[in-house]
Amino acid sequence: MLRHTCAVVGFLLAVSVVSVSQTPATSTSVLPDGEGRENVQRICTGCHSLSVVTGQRMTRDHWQREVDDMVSRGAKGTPDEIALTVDYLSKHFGNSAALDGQAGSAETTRRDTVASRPNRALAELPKGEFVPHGDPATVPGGVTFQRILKANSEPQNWLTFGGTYKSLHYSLLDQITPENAKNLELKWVFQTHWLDPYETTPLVVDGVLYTTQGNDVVALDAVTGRLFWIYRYTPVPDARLCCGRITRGLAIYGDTLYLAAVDAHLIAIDAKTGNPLWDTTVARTQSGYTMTGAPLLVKDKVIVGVAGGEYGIRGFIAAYDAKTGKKAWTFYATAGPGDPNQHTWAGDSWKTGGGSTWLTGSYDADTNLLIWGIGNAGPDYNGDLRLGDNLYTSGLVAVDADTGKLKWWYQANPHNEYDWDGVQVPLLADIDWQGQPRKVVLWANRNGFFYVLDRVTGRFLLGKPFVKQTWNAGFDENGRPIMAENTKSSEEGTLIYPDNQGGTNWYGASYSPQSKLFYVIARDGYSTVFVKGPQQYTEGERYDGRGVRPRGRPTPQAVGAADEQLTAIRALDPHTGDRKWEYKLNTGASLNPFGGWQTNAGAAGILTTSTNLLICGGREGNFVVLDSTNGHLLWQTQLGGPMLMNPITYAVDGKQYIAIDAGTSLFVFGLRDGAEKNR
Amino acid sequence: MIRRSYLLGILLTVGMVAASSDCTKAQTESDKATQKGDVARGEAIFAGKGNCLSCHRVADRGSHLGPDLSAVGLVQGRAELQKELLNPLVTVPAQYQMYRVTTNAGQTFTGRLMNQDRNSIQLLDSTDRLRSFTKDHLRSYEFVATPPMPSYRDKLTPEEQADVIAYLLSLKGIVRQ
Repeated sequence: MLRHTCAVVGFLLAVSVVSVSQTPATSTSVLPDGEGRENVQRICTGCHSLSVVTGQRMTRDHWQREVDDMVSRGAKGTPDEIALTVDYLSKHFGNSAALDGQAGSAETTRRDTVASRPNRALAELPKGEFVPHGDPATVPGGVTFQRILKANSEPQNWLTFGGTYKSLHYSLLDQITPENAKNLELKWVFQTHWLDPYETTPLVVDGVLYTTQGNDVVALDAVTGRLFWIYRYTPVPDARLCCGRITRGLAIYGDTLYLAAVDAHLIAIDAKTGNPLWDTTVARTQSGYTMTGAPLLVKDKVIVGVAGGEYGIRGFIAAYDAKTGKKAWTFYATAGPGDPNQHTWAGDSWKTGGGSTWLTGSYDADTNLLIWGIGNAGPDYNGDLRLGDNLYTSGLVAVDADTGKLKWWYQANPHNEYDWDGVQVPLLADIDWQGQPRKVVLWANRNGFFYVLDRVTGRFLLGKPFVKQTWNAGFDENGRPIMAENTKSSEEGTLIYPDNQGGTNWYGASYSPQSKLFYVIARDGYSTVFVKGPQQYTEGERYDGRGVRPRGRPTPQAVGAADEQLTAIRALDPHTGDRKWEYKLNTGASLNPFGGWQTNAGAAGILTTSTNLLICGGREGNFVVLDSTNGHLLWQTQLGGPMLMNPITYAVDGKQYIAIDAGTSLFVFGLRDGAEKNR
Repeated sequence: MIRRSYLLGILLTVGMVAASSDCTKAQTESDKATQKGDVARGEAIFAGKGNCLSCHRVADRGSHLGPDLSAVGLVQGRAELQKELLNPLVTVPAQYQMYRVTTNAGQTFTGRLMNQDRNSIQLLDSTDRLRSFTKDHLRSYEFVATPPMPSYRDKLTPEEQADVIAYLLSLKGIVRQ
């Protein structure tokens, strides 16, 4: 499943300089007293927030490996300090530590909305208990299912995570063009008071921009960035967070917003005031379940997925009544009793088999199918503990949006041992395929392959690598991959391309019906030595079945020299998978704001427009606007922090804006006043 | 499955006046009041003659301008409700005072002040729309002097007042079964 703790550092290292000045906000108060506490505070928060630490429960050996890995990535400390750090973490965040209050945090469940209300007493609100609201869709002017279904008819708004249900990340707005893009300028910035990765795709509805500030939800004036209200949310302190407190977006229905909180609570919020309306528990976070993806509103249901694949969860997709919060259906991502594919799991391994669903899927209204990516099987690196194909992990499933019944599935990596989730958002496109119109799924997978599937039947049409890969020796007639020799995870280590972070990851791809090209962020030239190790399941503890993964440490000599390792925007012909052009976002390593050197692999997702713009950003802070037909740079600026999620575009009062998260802030650009006519 | 109903944000908007020290007493009085008034008649008055939904919200009905009363019966007793019904001038929290802006073009918007700074004003207007204004484009911006909630001392008969209070005391959210 998701990036494990070590991997998080890879991009957290690049948290902006702004974060440095805010580091004191990550107080040691969340750490229990004890020898080594100061070391943990100093060493760990050099790269990431303490929540990445306090969300874990691991054995001493496991902590030792984690800390060793961190040191290999640039964490600084003397041998004695490192040893003390391991002692402290083992004692206070070990597998024998009591769950409750172990983090020493005084945090309690708290929900509050602030909108010019000084001296307001905070209400202490019990979790999982709620007051259901009326039907959100009856509110005049609210966002109905039909509006989302026809989102392209109101391109000034961004009504759902992927822009439309097809998740193309493509906009029909046409004010900003290749000719006038040079006149873009910063309009406003929303600085979050938050240190974890900022990966939220905002929603925009009729001039109001909804986004998050960590776990909080905010409503902003889309023209000026000024706040209308803040809904504050504090997750339970014993939530098991694999990779930081990340929320990637919201859903809206009527005048109700939906937040999938990291502690696996689904919360409905009044979009006018920020008042919470109901709160329901989706899963037990103490077992490792979290939610980091944006919910998806389909008809009158809110659809959510879960994260936690490193904790032996059983992943699922679940639908909740948007009005009441009552669960409507659940689709389990590991085939268990009653499922004809249970035989793909040895024994009871399906119970802890992972299969997280942590990114938002797409919806095909023609077939009423949700098409959703499924994460890797668990334990991640040791498949001996789950012999079989492990359906439906590392694949796509299509389930009926009304019932959750499975319609078809495609598994990209049966019996995956490389941590390659299949959660990457599938794009639904209508293209000509071998001379005939065809409804297809375009899907760039973490395993380094670009796939084309028939979205009605799930039939495999094409699989072609878009980065260097060494695991695949072809496909059979059904699209099942043929494994290359010597690619099984082993105790001594097996070198595989791409690395466990994959050829691409959560940052979304784009398809432009205008240019008829598919665009993907490609992480090329990266590899991992996969080492399997013993693993036992204990609730709430990591369950990844891995040994150490020797990795190189970036050095100054690597800067500019390691050109075989790069992150690039690649334009692919969806009919063949052939590369049409490439724009390199970065290569090699660069200076880490916290000291040392870092690789810059990864980037924001991609947005394209009907005027042939491609908008994206890199880990190192360069925000770029390209010509989507040829990859030529039209305009760029430096935002001082990593961009980790797709930009969006919207319009208010006839003026088009582009919004993108960078570092810990949301940046919004538009054309200089008067430059709109310069086309 | 959770059975009890709880206030979430609603508590935030209705709880300002409730005095915790009076809770037990108020609860006892509220029980009596429920018996006195007629809930159904109170609901009809609330939505009709009283015009209460023009400011207040109950479940999915009404406005966001005033406090949401969907579960007011959980946090306020008869004494508090009667006081607010008859003498609202002293009980309306500052954030629910109406605010009015007039643009340079003469257009007027009235609503709830959500935020402000030196250059701009954010409003939830009377049509339930979030609006932001730059002060350069405003002729005037100010709180409305008139209290947003009228006294119902002379607008409703004592019996009608009892009915409305009985209705309000019955509002305890919606319980998931």
